[in-house]
Amino acid sequence: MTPNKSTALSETKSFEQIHVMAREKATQKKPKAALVSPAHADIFKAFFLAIDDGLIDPAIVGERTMIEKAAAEVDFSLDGITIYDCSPDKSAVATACKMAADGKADIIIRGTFPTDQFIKELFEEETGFVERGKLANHVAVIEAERYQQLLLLTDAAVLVDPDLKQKISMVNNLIAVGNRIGIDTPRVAVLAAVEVVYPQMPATIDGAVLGKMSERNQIKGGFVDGPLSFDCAVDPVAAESKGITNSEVAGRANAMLAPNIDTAHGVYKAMALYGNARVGGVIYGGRVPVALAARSDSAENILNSIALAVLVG
Amino acid sequence: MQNSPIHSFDELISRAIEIAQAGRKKTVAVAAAQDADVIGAVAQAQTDGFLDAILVGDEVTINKLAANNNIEIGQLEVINETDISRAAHQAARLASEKKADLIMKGFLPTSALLRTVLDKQYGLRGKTTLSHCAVLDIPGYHKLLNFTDGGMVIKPDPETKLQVLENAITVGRALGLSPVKVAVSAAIDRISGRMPHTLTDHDYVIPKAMKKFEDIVIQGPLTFDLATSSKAAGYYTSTGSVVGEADIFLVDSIEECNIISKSLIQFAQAVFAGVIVGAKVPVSLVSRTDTVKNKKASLAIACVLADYYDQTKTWDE
Repeated sequence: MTPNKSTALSETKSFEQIHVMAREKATQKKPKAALVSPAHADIFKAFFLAIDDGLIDPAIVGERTMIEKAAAEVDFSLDGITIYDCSPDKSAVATACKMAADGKADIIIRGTFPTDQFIKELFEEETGFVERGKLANHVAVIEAERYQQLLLLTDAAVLVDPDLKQKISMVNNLIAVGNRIGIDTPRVAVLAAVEVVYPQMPATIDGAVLGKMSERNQIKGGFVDGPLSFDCAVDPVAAESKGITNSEVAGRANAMLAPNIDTAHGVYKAMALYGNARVGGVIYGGRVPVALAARSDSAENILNSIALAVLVG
Repeated sequence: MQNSPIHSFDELISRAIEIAQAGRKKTVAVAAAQDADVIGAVAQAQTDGFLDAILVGDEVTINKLAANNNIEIGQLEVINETDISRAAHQAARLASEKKADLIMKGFLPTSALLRTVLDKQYGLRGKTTLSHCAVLDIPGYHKLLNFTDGGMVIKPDPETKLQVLENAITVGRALGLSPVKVAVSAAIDRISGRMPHTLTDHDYVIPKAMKKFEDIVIQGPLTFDLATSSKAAGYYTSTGSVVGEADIFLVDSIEECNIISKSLIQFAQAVFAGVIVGAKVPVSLVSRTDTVKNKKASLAIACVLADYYDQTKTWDE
């Protein structure tokens, strides 16, 4: 292993940079975006900011009367935006997926309806959102005030309790997202409650396996190490005190695989609420990227998610 | 006994000092005390005035460590016992003879210490499983939040989850909370077929808890943001008196608890007090990576809990 312990200077470290890169990319070819069933103000606000920034070529999918009413309530003009009229839930998701399949949508933006329901509809086989044999997972990007780099985190929204096979694909997607947002060699920590292997804790075994797969080049494009506790992943002093000294990841991870959805969701929320963090999220691995922030996220965080979707598409 | 509720790290330390000043100062028995961090933490708590200590361990090493790290241990009692297993037994015996009110882990494996504490000959077993409570003071949240279990119980079945909850409620009572507000965690605020534990929580854990504990309000499934922020509630369907007001965050796996709480400690400047609950004496363990503040808070919460046991005669038949 190379002894180079510094983080690469050229790595993307902020949403500021992500927005710049996304705008640059959009000037070459503006992606067509399908916003699915928007209702509340922050979604509209983020959507219109994205249009203003020149990030997207907009369309809205859902029930026209509901959309018009919601837009009027928050004073947003729908002039020049194509509305694909359909019932607001199941068929709106299916319509957006159809648009993606037909090349009419390059990215999908989740509007206001609940994550659980949205995910369920999105992953129905008929939508064709995920190709057979592929896996799509949610990748959150967190810019916490007290960390010097970005943290990619999976999976706070899609996969509930992934097995090892799924985790391999999740790590590959995590690395791909990292690469596309300007992190050339992501340092992926496979999180667990401890940093040693205990047979009674399956998360530690998966962490060790993924680490070994990385070492043997079965996982390419990034460094993977596990199991790592959260502190050993991000704090070099903690890592050293536990005797983890020859890891490319420990103490300076910029990507994380959480063992389950409850963990990833909790960390995402904890950082957004108490870590003074800017956040955003995207579902990656499907036909097109889906911008998916939490419903309680601010317009700024939703805009972050749209920029991410533009960049990884 | 009804004390005003403790809502912060500072109030926790003050309460521990008040208890000592009221003539009920607690004594910790440290098992295998030859550990510089442990000696440092105990000496600090003693200087702060809320704890006396009996260090059971290798006296030569203890003295050397104290000297090398400039720790003043002249006021601390030392019982020389070089064998770590015998040191653990000695600490448990001190607790069972009521010469110590709490036990602290020194230079030995946690599992070895807990096995000894649960050894029947000492009569220190409680009524519930042993579990870990990590009580966090998170800047920006207006009260303490007890994360459980991120340290002992790996994946609780519903019955164990209730016992983990019972231990956390005991800590809540010791902190003077009434009612104790419990959020049962999930990545979603409704029952979801995709997430099986939301079903068992709803059908089993919550109704059982409501029946068993009169002084709690419990709600779930609740996401972390709903549990701790009423601002988040505006976007969701969930309402209820636990929303934005949780005292306990009851989770479904050790990973969830451990990782979320550590993210808050790393990136939100949260201070934490950790304690193992379920035996007749609180068991305290601090890790090398804990800050001085965290170590102090952990000892303080163990003192407050031990005093609650004494005052309410919890373990008297």
